[in-house]
Amino acid sequence: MQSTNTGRAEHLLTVNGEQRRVSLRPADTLLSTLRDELGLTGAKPGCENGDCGACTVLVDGVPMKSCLLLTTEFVDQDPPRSVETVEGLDGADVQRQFLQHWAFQCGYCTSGFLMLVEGLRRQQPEANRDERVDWLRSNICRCTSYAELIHAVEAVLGHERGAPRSS
Amino acid sequence: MIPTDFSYWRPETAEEAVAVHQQLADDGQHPVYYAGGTEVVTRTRLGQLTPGAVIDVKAIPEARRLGRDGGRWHVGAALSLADLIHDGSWPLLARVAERVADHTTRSHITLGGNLAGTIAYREAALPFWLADADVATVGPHGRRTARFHDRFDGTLALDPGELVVSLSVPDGVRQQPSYAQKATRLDYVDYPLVTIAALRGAEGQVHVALSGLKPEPFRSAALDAALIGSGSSADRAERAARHLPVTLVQDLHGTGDYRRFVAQTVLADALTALEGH
Amino acid sequence: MHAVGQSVARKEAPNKVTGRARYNGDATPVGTLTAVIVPSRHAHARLRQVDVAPARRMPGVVAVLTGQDADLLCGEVLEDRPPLARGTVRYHGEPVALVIAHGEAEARAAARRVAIDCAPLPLVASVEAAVAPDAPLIHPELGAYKRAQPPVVPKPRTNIADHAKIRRGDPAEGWAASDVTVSGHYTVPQVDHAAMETRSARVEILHDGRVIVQSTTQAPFEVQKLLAQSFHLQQGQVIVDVPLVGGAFGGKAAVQLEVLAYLASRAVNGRPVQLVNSREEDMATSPVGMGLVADVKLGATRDGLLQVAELTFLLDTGAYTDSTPRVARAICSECTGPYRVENVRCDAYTVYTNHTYATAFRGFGHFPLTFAIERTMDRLAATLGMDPVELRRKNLIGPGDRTPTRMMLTRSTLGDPRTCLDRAAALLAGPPVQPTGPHTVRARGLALFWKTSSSPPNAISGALVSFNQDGSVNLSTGTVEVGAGTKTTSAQILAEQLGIDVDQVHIHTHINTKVDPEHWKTVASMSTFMAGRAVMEAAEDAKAQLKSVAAIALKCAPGDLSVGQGRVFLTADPNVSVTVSDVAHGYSYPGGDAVGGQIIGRGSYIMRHLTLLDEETGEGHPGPSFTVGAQGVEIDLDTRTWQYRVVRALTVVDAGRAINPAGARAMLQGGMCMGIGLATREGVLYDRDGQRLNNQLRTYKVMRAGEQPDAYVVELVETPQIDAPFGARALGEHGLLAMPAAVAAAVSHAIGRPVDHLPITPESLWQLSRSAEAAR
Repeated sequence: MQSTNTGRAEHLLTVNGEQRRVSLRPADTLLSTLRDELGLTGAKPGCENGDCGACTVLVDGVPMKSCLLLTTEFVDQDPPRSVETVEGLDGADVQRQFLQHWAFQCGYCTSGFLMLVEGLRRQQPEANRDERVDWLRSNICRCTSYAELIHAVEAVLGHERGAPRSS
Repeated sequence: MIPTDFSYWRPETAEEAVAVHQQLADDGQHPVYYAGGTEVVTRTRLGQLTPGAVIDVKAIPEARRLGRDGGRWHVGAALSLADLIHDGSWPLLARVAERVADHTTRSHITLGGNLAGTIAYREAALPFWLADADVATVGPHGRRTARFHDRFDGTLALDPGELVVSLSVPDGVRQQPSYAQKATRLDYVDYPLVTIAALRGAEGQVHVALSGLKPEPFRSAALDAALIGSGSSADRAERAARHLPVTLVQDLHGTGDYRRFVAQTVLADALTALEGH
Repeated sequence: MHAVGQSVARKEAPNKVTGRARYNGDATPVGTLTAVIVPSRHAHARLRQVDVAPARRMPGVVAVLTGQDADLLCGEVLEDRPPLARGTVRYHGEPVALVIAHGEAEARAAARRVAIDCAPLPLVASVEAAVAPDAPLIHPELGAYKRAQPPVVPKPRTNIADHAKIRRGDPAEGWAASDVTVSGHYTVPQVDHAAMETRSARVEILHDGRVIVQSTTQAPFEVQKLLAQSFHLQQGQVIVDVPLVGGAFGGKAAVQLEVLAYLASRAVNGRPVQLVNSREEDMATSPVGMGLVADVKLGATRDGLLQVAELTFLLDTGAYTDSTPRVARAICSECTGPYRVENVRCDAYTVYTNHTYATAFRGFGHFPLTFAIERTMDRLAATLGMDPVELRRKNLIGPGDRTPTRMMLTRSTLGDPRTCLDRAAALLAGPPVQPTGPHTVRARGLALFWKTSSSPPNAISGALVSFNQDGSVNLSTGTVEVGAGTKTTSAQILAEQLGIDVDQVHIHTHINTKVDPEHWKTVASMSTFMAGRAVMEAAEDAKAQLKSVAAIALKCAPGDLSVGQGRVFLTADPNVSVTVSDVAHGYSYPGGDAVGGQIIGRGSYIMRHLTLLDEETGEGHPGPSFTVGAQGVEIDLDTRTWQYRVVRALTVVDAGRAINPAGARAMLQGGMCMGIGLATREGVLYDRDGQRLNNQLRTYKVMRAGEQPDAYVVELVETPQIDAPFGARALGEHGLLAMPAAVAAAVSHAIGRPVDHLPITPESLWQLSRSAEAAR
């Protein structure tokens, strides 16, 4: 059984494809490790309660709220768990489309939305309009009207094909 | 930022989990089982919970099982709501689950956490409460499989240190006609005023379970009985609503009176959906 | 080549999509201590003892402060607020103690050990209760408070912190001339700014006397002044540095955490200390937007001409005043809405309650005001049996009319409300309500807004322009980039003036009070106007200098020259020219000797002809111009469940001139979305003990994706404001101003009953229908 004692210790964490040595307490959230240990401050502490999504990162390709995760869950794993942050996006289409469609103003929620939409692109590229909106509901933007974000998603995924899911 | 410290344990069997729980409890460590983290992390941050140890149950294979075995459909307690929605093979469970929290957070929240956690809505319990479900646990006194009904009355009756490993329902239940709806104050992502799960039995009678009305989920044989009979969905919903608890939750989401109105509306909707009139 | 009128992307945008944009909490130097606020758990209580000893003993704790350690009162207008409670706590969440430790974990763990012993005092739970006879007094010392920024008119021995008035014409005459009178009673709750970035401040006191402040503030120069005043420092000692700000909406115009962080740093020998609000603290401890209770009475002739308006506003400022007396005067200034009314009596009271204290909120009181006025106009239309659009058209204020503060309007200062109204009415064509199914209806509602800046009459802004050796330009202004794109707008104005590409203009995204010229505050949608004017002047100044050096080089008079496209050239023969880079740092003759020198363009702007409002009559000149507009919504409502949704929202606004059209639209649409949120779901809630119920984004609901209308329509009317840069009017706040009124109008049409209270939840409609049934 893996266990980690109370107190600070060094571990290996894979972030954006790089193996990083991090010093952490078992009680450290992934958000605080990324920001305070690794200087990856794209993920933001908008609420630290799982409500706003500004801290969203991809874990094994799936959007997760890094304020709700314990870093210790992801360290020293073989094969390594993959954590991707906005800093790992490099000229991705989603970044271009956010720029193109004015999908942000103050920019504070942007990293979280980018990772959410990147996750959507990878996990469910055929998502219909309802499903896209359901993904986007995970995060809050206080500046835009959301129409800009939805247009950016349309540009990333292409306009919806097929009929809305019946359920 | 979680201000207090705890140790972290990741057992690989349920027995191991229970053993370490017992040992940590004996040491005065106030251990908690940990799965999705949505409650443990947020409540610990706010000081509402101060565990000395968290025991992560996500590495226990049987808590992640999903599939048929012996005429029953088994679902592990450490699966996330997103896993259950993605599987989709029990539409009622999937529909209830897909209205809990938001899309991303459903990748965190687990079935077991939703059933046994502190947040009282426990919507994922509703389908199991209506089906002939079993719940498998491991506790200090060993393994136990019991009828969900016998251990859940809105709250899952667990011994200290007892861990929910999986649940099962008769395979055929998944194909029974069902209905689920969540009504909120206004926002799509919000706690429910009322969440209803309804299952239509072989003889056509409708059973319902409701969340949001009382501090914990609610169902009533008298209410189910009042749904049977003649009259429109609306009429029967009105009769059935008389069997709702006398006092309903009153909070920032809505008053008790309004919840009663909403409950009656969703009861009528459930009847209409399941009976077509 | 034009830079103005182009939809230029924000200068900092590439950093915002790569996680590289730096906000205040993103680069904390190693060694910075953390301060955490210990909040009051009572809404109104006498502090008997604050026992910090157990907290001090916790590991990592460096110091713990209480009100004993901070003998000062703060307040933008009236100094009524101790930074740490002294003797009394007046709201749930008020800072009682401050724990300073090496890390946040230690500080937060220790904060839980501070034992606050207090005796509850009677709660003042609403503005109505606060103004009732014999109400418990929240500030018995009210009469003794220093008035930091008059006008402010406190009423000692009451809970009224300020009384602002309009007395215009003769209301008695107006009532006598009226065939019809209508009145309405309206409530708007306190609301939360809910900027995605919580407020934070970091302070370090250096041993050379400098005080380095890093903050999320919208008002760096105000922070500088207040810290200097409060702590007897030379203003130049205080250096306030502000990086990008993650949304503000008025909430970051208040100075709160900076004072606490200063006290914290001072207590630990000047070491750097940072204080970052958790979301819970940001909502319950830092200020919210005020609530409003309004009584509006209008009189009109049979054919719908307004004769008189009498208005009483109770502003819920919570425990402290902050800027609310200024908001009260802004409300007074535009209290009639954009309508011609000769006889006006308006009383706006800033009222203390045991609620979280209030500060500016996007619109500076105008969304609640607009709600109250526009609902009453709809009542009047219903009473007269007149089309609400026709009633508005008939009474619309215009050039030559006077505002409630007796400011005479021109086409330039007012803009064109008539075109806005007509266009909006055309875009919203259709019956007020029509059935769309057995129990569903579609309904429409329209409302107008107007707003001026209500800024201090001496508000200033400055700009500095310098050149790089390659001829590209550096621009420094004092505005904070809160998301509105103000820095980019300034760059566009400079590029236009210098005739260069906007890419050639390099901006400072950070503000530093030591090197950047002062800008009053990044509030009131005034950045484009004020900073823009300063930038234009700086550009002219730089051009004049370029020409004078180039005149030497080209052997002509400066007046013969023009500047553009990186060159200074003979206007009559552009082939005769030098490059800007040839002259911007001195012109060198072929022999190597040089003339001229470094060219630094300076520009400044000060508000002109604005005056404070007269204490008795309200007469005065509150702002340089107005922005007027009309907004409308279509909603779908289910009369069985009372659930509804805004499906279409539109704004027609007189923008004067859009310097960045896409940016202006984005700003307006974002405001509309926020306005729909304010209409439908937002509101601060307290329980019966005054405890804040919704201090998280889980419980304080703001709009999420899917809740926005299916269609936004934004149309810009362009009536130039003559004295504004390229005619551009203020736009930053305006998208939200009339949305709650428009939504309420539509819902009222849908359910056939007036809806007068925000937010309009399905439950509130159900309750209305029940009370109507009971009355039947």
